[in-house]
Amino acid sequence: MGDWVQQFKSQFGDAVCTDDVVRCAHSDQDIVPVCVCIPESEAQAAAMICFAEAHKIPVVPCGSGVSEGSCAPPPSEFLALSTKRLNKLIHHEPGDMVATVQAGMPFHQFSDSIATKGQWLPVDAPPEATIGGIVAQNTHGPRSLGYGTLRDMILGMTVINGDGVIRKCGGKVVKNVTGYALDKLYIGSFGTLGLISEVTFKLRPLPVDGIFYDVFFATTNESISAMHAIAAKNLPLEILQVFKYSRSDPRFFLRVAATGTPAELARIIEDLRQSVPENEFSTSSKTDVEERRSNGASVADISWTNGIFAYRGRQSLPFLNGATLHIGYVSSKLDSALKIVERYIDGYRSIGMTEAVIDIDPLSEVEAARIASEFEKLGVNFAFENIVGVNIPNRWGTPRPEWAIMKQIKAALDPQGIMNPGRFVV
Amino acid sequence: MNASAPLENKLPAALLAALQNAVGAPNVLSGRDETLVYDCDGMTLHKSLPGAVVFVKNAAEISAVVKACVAANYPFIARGTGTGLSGGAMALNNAVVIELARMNRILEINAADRYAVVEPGVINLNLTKACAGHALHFAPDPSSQGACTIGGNVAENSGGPHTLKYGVTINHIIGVEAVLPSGEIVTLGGPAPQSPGYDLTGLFVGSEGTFGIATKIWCRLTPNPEAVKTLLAVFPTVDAASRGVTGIIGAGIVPAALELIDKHIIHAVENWLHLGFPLDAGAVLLIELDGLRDGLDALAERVMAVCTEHGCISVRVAKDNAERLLLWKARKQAFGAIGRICPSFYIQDGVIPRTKLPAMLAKIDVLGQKYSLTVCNVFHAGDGNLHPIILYDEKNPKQVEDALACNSEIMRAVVEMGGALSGEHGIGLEKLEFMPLVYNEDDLEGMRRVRDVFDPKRLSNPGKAVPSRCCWEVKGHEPPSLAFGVRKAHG
Repeated sequence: MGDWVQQFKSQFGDAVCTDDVVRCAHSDQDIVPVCVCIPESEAQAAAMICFAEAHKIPVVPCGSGVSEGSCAPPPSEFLALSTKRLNKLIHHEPGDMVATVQAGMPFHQFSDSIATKGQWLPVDAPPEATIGGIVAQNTHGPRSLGYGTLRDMILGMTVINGDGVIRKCGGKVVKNVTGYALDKLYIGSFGTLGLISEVTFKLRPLPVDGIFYDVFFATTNESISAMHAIAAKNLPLEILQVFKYSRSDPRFFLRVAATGTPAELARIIEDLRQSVPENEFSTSSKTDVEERRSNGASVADISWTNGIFAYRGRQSLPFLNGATLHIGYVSSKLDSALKIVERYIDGYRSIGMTEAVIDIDPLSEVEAARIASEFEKLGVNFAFENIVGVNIPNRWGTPRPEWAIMKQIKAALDPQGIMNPGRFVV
Repeated sequence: MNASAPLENKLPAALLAALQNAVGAPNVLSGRDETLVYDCDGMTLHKSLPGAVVFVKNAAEISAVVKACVAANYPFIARGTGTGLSGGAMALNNAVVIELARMNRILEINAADRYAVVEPGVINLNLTKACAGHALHFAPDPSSQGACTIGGNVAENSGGPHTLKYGVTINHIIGVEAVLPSGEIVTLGGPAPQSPGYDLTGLFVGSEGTFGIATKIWCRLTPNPEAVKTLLAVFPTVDAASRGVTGIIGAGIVPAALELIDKHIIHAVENWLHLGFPLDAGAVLLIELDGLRDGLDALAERVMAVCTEHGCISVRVAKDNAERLLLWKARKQAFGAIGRICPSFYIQDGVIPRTKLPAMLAKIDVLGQKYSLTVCNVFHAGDGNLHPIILYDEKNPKQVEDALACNSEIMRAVVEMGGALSGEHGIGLEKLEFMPLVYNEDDLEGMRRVRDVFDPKRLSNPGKAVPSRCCWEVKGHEPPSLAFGVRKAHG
């Protein structure tokens, strides 16, 4: 450990912590940071990044730590930069359906705050995750069918780049072509370009009435056919996704969710029944949002459990026991893609990203290489996550020509390469 | 230099030969007479004669043209049909214009995955027409959608009335093949989601041709709504109508479109097209609701109740598609109608938070009176996307000066209310000088760093989108890029 820690402590005082318990709590994939910095303002965070840049110390931005393992392990010596104290709701104007929030606010707090005015951010994200973490990882799930991804919900952002300079992009209005859309660049950049400090979102009215339509199938093929039949109806659905019932139960479970007025929902149920007749295992029910809210549940928690974990109940945080594989494909390749990872598959969708859980513990390097190679041949995008302790040379596949541009963008906004180095495609 | 003198073509002979070699001599226009028609886009206030206009038919030809320009250290710019309203397709400094209108093929329509692949010169509306059999459409619908190209929509991140519900161009583009300013051809994103790395597609959209030229575009297609209901709500004043807008949004209703048309436009349109719009109205709201047939009537009732609460005098509901198209005709022909009554007009594109609409429209009214200019309003009210139209006479230097001053004050008011300079037209050349009102030098310098990644020599549509430097005073100065190679058209 260099002398920089003492200098750092003398410059930033209590905002720098070297306590073992705190450091261990901020470890990432079993690598412990040299110190944990918890700035109390954007300006202080910027000063810390300036210091780190001058001393070429790797900086790992961190929120609540729920998604540890989502990118490659950090370097052996690094500084954890926590957004814990940057956790304020800056602005919420219900009449504009726009809110600006600091990165460190947990998603459930943000969700509950805007829910008091009847609005929400329709993202499937762990309730404990921070806003900054959700944006840095471009978190989304099955509800993206109805609402799109964060790219469709973010209006502006403030970021402290790797050179320690605070820069904003976008704005606080719902339509904006003023300057480059750098906010799009930061969504899903895994903190490699800077620390996201503030985000402005376009919100939606909180739905009050909704339905689930759930059907169980014995085979993959049956579930795929059902999913396509429903997709062809062009109904305004929020979720259309197949999940494996559980790791020990091979049945597949198709969940459809929609919101709307009673008349709309009655019509949707009718159409669903026509496309995929109910069988002995199917159910349709009203969503329980209002009931659970009145019992004190967080909007984020309800959304999360009704979406991703509907079929298992709220167990634990996702995928802690196995590596996760995110796959992006066009539907014509769905059958072939599923065959490659058939025995691991956990869930998939007709339109948009699928997710598979690989629950071999540990995932072997040989198997990972096979999957990667076959996906590349098929033209399927993929990303391995949570592969702690397994050496996979490139979890995003073979480098592509456009990665050269990404490297240059990283060099432009993080000249010393201190932000999350070596953890993403660049 | 004499600002009003016609510019001469200054293209080096060697570059002209290289361009002719790249695409064939018949596909290169040069010389004043041939290129004059390309001296501006829909923003006619500033003009510059292109060094040459090159008609290309594929990415390889574009690459060759770009490489020839780079070798000669000469600027170049892509152009579709030139309908842009911010000077984005104006050939500053006699740039070489790469004309994409001939690259107009729809390459693929994939209904199962709801996307299409198009060349950049495809007319926006033609894609929607081509998808009709699949009950899908391309959602961004600028007023110029019958003429503008999808390549231009990508460059400017265009919007349209229905972007209120469906989002702007960036929300509907999933991949781009582009010729970079180096001449290299790359593919960013594509039909399958989860492309690894940064979202370069998202970054590329709206970069106004400064990051390269799109040669193939993957467009997301949107299912057609099962039913549509179009309402015309009549209000006594602009203020009441704008309060109606904030009331509808505030009630958590997101219509497919929510447009405000003021009395000046109503009169201009009525006198021309005789559509039966109420001449005694202060303003009308054109409200379109769509979705499942079931529930649409209930939603319309809610909207009408909000309108009534805010002083709405009457509501006309289109009884069939013919009447719906008639109501939309008034909106879509507004600019044409204004053209009939006034020799010149200047359209703005600022966006404000929707709750600020009543205050902003009052401010615009005051500014019009201050400069003794008529300022009309026809705009995407639901998005807060203003389009004040300042009427002036280009032959009256005082009015030109006043129109520019009025524009400047409106821009400042937009920014003071927490808004943005442009919602869908782009910064182009027109709003460049106002950028420092919105972003500080650090913000702009960050944008320039990213631009230099794509175009270190700054030859791809130079002088647009982001100011190349900011150390100049905003008020009372020309943007630095105007000092050379441009004349004021009506100055």
